[in-house]
Amino acid sequence: MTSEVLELFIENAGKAAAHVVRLAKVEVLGQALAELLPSGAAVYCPGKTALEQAAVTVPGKRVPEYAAAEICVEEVEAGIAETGSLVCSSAGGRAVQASLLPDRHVALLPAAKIFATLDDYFAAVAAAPPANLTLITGPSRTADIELTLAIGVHGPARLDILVVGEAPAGIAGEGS
Amino acid sequence: MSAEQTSLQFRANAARAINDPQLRAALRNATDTFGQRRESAFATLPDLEALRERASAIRLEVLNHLPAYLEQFTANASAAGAIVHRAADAAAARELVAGLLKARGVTMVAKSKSMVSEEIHLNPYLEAAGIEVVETDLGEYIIQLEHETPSHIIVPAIHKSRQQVGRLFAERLGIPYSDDPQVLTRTARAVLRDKFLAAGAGLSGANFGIAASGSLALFTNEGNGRMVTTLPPLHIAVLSIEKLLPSLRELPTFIRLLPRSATGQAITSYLSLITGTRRPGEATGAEELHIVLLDNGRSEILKGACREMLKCIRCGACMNVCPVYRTVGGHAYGWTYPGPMGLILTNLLAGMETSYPLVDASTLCGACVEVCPVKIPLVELILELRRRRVRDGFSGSATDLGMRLFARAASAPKLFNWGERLARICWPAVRRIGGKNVAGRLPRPAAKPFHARMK
Repeated sequence: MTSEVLELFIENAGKAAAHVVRLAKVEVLGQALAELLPSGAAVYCPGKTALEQAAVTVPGKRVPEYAAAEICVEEVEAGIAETGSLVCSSAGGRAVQASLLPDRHVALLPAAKIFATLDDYFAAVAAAPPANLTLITGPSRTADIELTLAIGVHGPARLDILVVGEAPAGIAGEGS
Repeated sequence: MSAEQTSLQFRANAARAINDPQLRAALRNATDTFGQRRESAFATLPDLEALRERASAIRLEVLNHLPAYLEQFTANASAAGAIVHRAADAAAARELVAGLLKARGVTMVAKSKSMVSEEIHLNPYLEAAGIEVVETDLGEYIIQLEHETPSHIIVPAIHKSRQQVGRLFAERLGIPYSDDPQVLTRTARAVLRDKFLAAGAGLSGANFGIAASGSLALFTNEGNGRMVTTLPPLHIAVLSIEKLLPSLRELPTFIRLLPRSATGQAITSYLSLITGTRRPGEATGAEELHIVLLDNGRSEILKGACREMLKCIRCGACMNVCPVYRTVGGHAYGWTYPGPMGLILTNLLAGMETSYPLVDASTLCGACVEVCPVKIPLVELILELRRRRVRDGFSGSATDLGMRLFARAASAPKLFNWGERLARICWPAVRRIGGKNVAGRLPRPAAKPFHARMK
């Protein structure tokens, strides 16, 4: 049941042109990032969560300012399988725009935080949303010239999603 | 094209558009593509009809209790730190926005796409007040460079070819000519990035206001909407009063319908939900948020027979399938909103006296009704406007006389038969005197009328 949700998330994120990698456990995160990212690129990573702590071995030079970074590596709040979306939240003092300014966004998503549907997610946050909630589905895009798709307008031209861990036995958000 | 309304010249505007082969090719390409994308996007969604019913019911619920929802939205947005203003008309909204900017010494604002700001002609007003307005949506940026107005509510520069955009960028931005959309897009990114970081304020619209949480919902693809609402210290959002949803629980219905209807996407790249201002110790969002709720005639529309027009969620699907829009494009309608939804809104918001020729800009084929995600009875509304045009004396005395004569004849069989005979007898003379110009536009009278054959 819930592995179906995970499969659906990966399928729909892929349809929206995100690059999805599945990692069985957090221990292989550093290795995966080393393979994924060009060495020497300026990387911003807040380093606030356990996953982000595990990612700080990311190759390249760390920069403290997202505005100066080429790549943002960060843990995101949740995933939504129905649309293949990520959710970024301002809760806990996080800068949602850090996922917007660099040309590449690498999202770390715990598999346990994937909701099945939009309804499930919005029912969970409806009562008290934080100042900013942003659903991200694929890279920045436009079709304003002859309806021809162009990628990386104002936001990232490439979105990587690293789904970490196994799907839980219950529905995401329950009991949290 | 200036900001002056030219709806009264609809026929002349349409004739000019029809004789522009580049425009017609661009329109055909765009509306066909949109139609196909919309269809395949909905193919994967079970029970579209139930979803449309639900969306329509939610929008009607809001309209039926609009004052209460507005009060709720205002209270909750205020509690989250926003300052909510009401503007009775376009002039009040313009003055409000300009006043806020001037009081804070803002000289440049970064703006994301907003049709309501076009409706109130906000940009020229701010520029006259000495404030630079930078449109950051790629399509809006293109037409701002060209000093034009949008010709489509979703893709404002739908009427331009890639070669035209390439020449424009080469000329105005001093870059080598390219007609590759990817190259042009990356150019705009570089130029506009500096503007985002330097802007004293961000100006946006909103797709929805959420009453129960006081949030604003913005659907965007490029990321400029996110920049405008999170980077500058001041954010001003202008939205019209009818654009509320009861709570975030109703939002998924519209996430499923709006992007699919508009661009054929299952969801836009970004959906921003902004609830008040940056909180203490936080790192996201404007420190000051002003929300301007614009009436501009909507409370009056709500009282009348065309109130269901206010269910509209601005997806643009109706214009993409409209045979008139597909032929003449958006500028011919001569105001802010084109296509079926546009001709109705123009009539209701700008007045019959400034737009009565537009009520003819429909074949009543009903294609728009079939695609409308919130089930607005567009054809019925257009017929209602045609009745109002006659009632208010805008149909022209020749048309009135003709219609009265026809009504008389059609209700008296003998008179009708005489009329037919007269038409048959006069036909050769009409052809000889009027020539192709007149006779070609008239139906040729049958040698033996249909009812005579059926006897």
